[in-house]
Amino acid sequence: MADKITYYAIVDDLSSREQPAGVLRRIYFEAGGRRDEAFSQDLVWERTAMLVSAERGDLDNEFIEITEDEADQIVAGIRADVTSANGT
Amino acid sequence: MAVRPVGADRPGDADMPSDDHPDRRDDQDGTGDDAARADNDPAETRTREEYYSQLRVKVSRQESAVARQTTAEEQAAAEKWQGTTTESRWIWSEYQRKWPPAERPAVDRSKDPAGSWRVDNSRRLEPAENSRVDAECDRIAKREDEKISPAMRAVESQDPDRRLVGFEHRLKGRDRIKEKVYNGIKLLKHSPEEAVSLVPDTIRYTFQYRESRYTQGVWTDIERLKGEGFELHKLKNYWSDDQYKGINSTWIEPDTGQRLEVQFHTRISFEAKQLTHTAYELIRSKQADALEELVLEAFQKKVAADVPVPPGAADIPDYRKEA
Repeated sequence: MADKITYYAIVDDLSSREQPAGVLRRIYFEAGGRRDEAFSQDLVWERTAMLVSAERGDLDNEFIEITEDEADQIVAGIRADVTSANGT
Repeated sequence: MAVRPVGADRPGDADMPSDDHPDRRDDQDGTGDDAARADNDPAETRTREEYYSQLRVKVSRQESAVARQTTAEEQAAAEKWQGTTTESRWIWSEYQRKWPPAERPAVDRSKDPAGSWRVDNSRRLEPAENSRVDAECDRIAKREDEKISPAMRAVESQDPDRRLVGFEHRLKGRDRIKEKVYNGIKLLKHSPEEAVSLVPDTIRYTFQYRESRYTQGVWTDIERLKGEGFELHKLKNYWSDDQYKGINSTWIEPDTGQRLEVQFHTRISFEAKQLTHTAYELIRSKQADALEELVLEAFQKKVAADVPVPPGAADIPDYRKEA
């Protein structure tokens, strides 16, 4: 069971905080440990090590902490883009 | 002692100021200790040559004293670090005893189409994507060989007191590039070419400095890199972080638009990075369970905590070029 979830907007050189490239959530579990997931183009939350890499010196992306509502909006945007691109 | 700021000495500069130089003693405004005299001070009786000869001796003695102190501090830090590495290697051997590497399941690639690429059971590039990424990697390798590494060697040659380390690893491995490209395609909706172009460290270099020269060395090398035509894109200072120590920066070679990474380390921070690299790889590869991840992260933090922070290093500000 998740104890706490922190959301991040993923911003790279082709995106901005207002229009981020993606969204990531870090889930802290009550029993201990944590898990990072990003919302993918397959419209599922997929485990990722992008934030771990950034904490270790990787400069590919910026991770900006956001609210759950903001994260929901990014997820909705990705869903709309993918659905539109698939013509469904 | 009040000191007037002066420019750095450069090769070829005269040993003493010319007659019209503002640092000449008879041009001083009373702010200097040695060169200037208050109105009621006895008149200077030495010749200009005698004066500067004595000044050079005095400065040389002061510099030697500082150098001796620095060397002693660096020596003490090196000895402490030696103890840290011994302990950390023991911790790592205990970790490997508890979680032996051989017990990890192999990735099944038996049903993958020819020409595809796979890092684990869930992440795969299709043959067409993989082929486009390989073609882009070939172009990057050519840019590195023809343009970027020669310029980087030119920067390195400007100061014998520090050097590039790990130069043989300047090209990132293709598997790791493809992992990042996978993220770019699947998680950030980029084309394969876009995703490769956004990876900032397909080409990467590391400058290594003595602790006492680190901060000034970084500033100077940033200017040297700009002098070679590279554009600073991003700089992040990790000296105050708890898992990794050093400064990482990304640059753009303007003729080709190629991105590259330059890391700035001390010997110890570079060794700490090497010492914890496998732990980081295991966390990143998502093969570790929750308990194992906690142990691996604690190991990284323990090693990083023992890395001495060079004077002034934590004050070098982050930078990000605005779009």
